[in-house]
Amino acid sequence: MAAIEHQVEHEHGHASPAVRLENLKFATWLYLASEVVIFTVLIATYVVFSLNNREVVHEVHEKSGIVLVALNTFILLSSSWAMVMGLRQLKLGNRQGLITWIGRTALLGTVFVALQYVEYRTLSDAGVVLFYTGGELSEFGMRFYAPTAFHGAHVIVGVLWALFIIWNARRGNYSAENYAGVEVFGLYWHFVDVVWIFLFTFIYLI
Amino acid sequence: MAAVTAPTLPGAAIEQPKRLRVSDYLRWSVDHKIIGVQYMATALFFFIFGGALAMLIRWELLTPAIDLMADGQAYNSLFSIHGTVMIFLWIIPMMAGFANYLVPLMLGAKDMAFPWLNAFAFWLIPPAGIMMILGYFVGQTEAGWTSYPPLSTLFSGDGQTLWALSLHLLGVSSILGAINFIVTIRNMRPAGMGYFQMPLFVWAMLATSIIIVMATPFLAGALTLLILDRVAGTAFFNPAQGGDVLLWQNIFWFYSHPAVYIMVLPAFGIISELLSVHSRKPVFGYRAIALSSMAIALVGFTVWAHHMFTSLTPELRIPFMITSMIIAVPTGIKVFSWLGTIWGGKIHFTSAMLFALGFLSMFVIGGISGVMLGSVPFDIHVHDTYFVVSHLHFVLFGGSVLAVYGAIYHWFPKITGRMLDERLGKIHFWITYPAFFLTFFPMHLAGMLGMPRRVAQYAPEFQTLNVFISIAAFVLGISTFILLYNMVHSLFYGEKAGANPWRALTLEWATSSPPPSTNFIGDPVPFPNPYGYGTEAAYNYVESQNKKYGTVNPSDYEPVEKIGPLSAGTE
Amino acid sequence: MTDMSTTTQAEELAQEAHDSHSADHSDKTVLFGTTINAPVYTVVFGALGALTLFELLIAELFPRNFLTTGLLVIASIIKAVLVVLFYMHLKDDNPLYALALVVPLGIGLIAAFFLLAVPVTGY
Ligand code: HEM
Ligand SMILES: [Cu+2]
Repeated sequence: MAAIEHQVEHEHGHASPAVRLENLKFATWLYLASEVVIFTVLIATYVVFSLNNREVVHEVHEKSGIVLVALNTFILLSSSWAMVMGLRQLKLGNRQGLITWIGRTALLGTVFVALQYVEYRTLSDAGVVLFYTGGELSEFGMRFYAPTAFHGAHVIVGVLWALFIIWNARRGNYSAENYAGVEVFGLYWHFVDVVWIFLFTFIYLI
Repeated sequence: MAAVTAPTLPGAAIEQPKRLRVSDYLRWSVDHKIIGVQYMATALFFFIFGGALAMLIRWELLTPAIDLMADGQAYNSLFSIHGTVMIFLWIIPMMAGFANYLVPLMLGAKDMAFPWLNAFAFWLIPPAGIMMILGYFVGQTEAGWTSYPPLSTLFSGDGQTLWALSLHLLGVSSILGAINFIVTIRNMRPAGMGYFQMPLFVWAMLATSIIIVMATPFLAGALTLLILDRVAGTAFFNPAQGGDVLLWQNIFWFYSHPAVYIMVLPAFGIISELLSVHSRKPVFGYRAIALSSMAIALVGFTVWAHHMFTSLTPELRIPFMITSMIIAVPTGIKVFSWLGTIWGGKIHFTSAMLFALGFLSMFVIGGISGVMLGSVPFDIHVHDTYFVVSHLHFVLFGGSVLAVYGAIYHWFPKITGRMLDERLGKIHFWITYPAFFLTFFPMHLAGMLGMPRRVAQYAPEFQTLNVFISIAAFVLGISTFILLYNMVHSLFYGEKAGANPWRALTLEWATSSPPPSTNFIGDPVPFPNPYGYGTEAAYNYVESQNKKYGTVNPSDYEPVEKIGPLSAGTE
Repeated sequence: MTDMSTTTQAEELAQEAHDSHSADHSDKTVLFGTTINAPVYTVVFGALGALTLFELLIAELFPRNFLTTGLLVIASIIKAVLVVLFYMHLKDDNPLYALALVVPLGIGLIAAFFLLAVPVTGY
């Protein structure tokens, strides 16, 4: 009885690492496909407004300054680099290297979120708020906060995920052959980075 | 875990498949067959719930005044929940149920690519359903299944928020399910099975899943903004505060037109299977059917504004009229292929086949009224009238629901090991089919005469028509219980089905009914052409299968002497 | 009747993919004929940083017009493509995965351009 259940578990649960990697990678790309759609809609909503209201955008840019987001951009780019270096170490068989690099990823991600918080504070003190307060700044606000905060939420999830990867790596769950979990997290994290690349250009520069 | 690692020996290690009890279906399970049944049972529950609401709607419309409902708002909630439940908690999960059960079997696989994810996707549905029903009782879910602002933002109550949250969950569930299907279909096929040897139902699920992955996020995005508008005080959809009220309509239809194909493509797949099996002929134009699903999936993204002919700037009407006409073409190709499939076949009028033919006839009417609506001058006249209600029920009830009925008669034996009662099945069909037609066809007329949809009060001159419609609708509602009774009764007393009662060639029949938990004993050998009916090779293939499972099936399905002339029809 | 082995498509794909990543492990990168003493990921990181600086310069020094906006958009696209190709390994992964980005992006852009094309109606 128990034997059958175990066997069922076995049949339904596990494939070889290589097959698992193939399946997981494809699934992750499909998941990213749907993320692409959501972010496109949110960014498009912003861009439509921005093209029709140049002065408002300009005013907000004046208020926020470029230094903080530029810094944040470099931080996120570095975290992405750290991520891929970690995966490289793992594939070279160095699990400690993986832990170190992913640790940096998580740290940089955390700093990113913290700085985004600082930025939000500055902006809302300057009157750019999410709610309608009567005035064009809040019309800007909702369209600005929706995509950036949604992205920020992705970064937070990513940091938690990175910690999970570290925890797993410390228990010895990954190896040069068995790296699907890390690879999939990498795809996610780099995707979040790509989204930021566009947010940075479309929201803060243009 | 470690104790049992002995590899499964074909045939030897698996004893009698464990008989599943009801409690097995109430628990978390990663077996795609159990999950499939869980989906179907849940969906059927909501079908009954949504059907009861429909009966209330028709009851209210017996008279031109508001009498059954307390007020117009109560009526609004009624049809809003009816529509949402039927679409998101009945049709879509029901199709997902069949797909979960059948796709791995049809591919000869042991399970989906991600069994755990599969279970997770299912278990999002019950809480979402509860939230939806809760929303109904909390009240003021008033904005219809399309939920246009400002009604959905500035006016409705907490029920509307719950409605949006519930849809969010359902969306996540269906995206996760779809990812799982795509990966399964691409990666779990046995190495010998190319894309063009897959059963057409699998093709249909592939196209459906692609649409789900790419369209549902639009809904998720729009719902997020809607929820923010409702609870966080933003004004994305409120022009008075700098929002854009058409934004919702655009994003919603950008999702929802593709979504109507999410609801009907699996039905197309079901019909391709049913027609071929029950008329003992190869599918005519296999590639045309398979690829037109893909065409529909892509073109489906370019027609959304035909729902907005009356709210868009007029210059944009003609482009969308043109794309709407174009999308009818791949659908037409399918219809002709189906007609070609049954043409000259040895048709068995089983209940499953009757419903498939019912689908064919009713769906064509829905398609025609769709093209009518797609032409601007006509749509301006009938937009938001009962004509639209008629159209959507011809494609969704006459299309998807009749296909689901057919699928139930066809696959119930596989799922339960028992046949459904054919006599009851025919009675079911011969009541449902005319009652359906009499309920919804007159709505065309009501619409063209100018009766608006979504109203509880109407001009007295429409009463005769509405009483007629309501009576037919009650008959239609009651006829559903014939099916439910049949299912419950046959589950215990039905004739034993055997492995392959229809002598079908697709792989789900190449195992016992119900299949063992590992699906197949040993590795199944697919027949090269899943629809190569009427050939001697097919006859021998099924015979050897029968020998393996010790079953006999009706000999009139493949009379040996008929094989000669029929085999000429093989593609 | 086709003889069916027990392997699935995934196993075959996994086999194919097995020997594709090789350049990643090297400590050196060859760029336009010169050899750089860093893994390819670091070189890409450098390029990303340089492009970001370039963007910042344009944005700060010049007013926004058709040309500068165009340059900014192009720079961001190049950055995104670099990340996708190198960090997400699309360069030597299955081209099918590229479809998973391109098709929804195309569909999303249809929607976006449509929203752009329609003047704010003021309804
Ligand atoms: C032959 C292709 C089709 C065309 C050209 C077409 C066209 C249309 C048009 C123009 C409308 C909007 C009518 C109005 O509101 O004024 C409409 C409504 C609708 N159609 Fe179709 N249709 C087609 C097929 C389908 C199919 C296959 C389904 C579902 C399986 C479907 C489901 C619906 C639904 C649910 C609505 C009502 C939307 C609402 O609540 O406002 N249609 N159709
Ligand atoms: Cu439509």
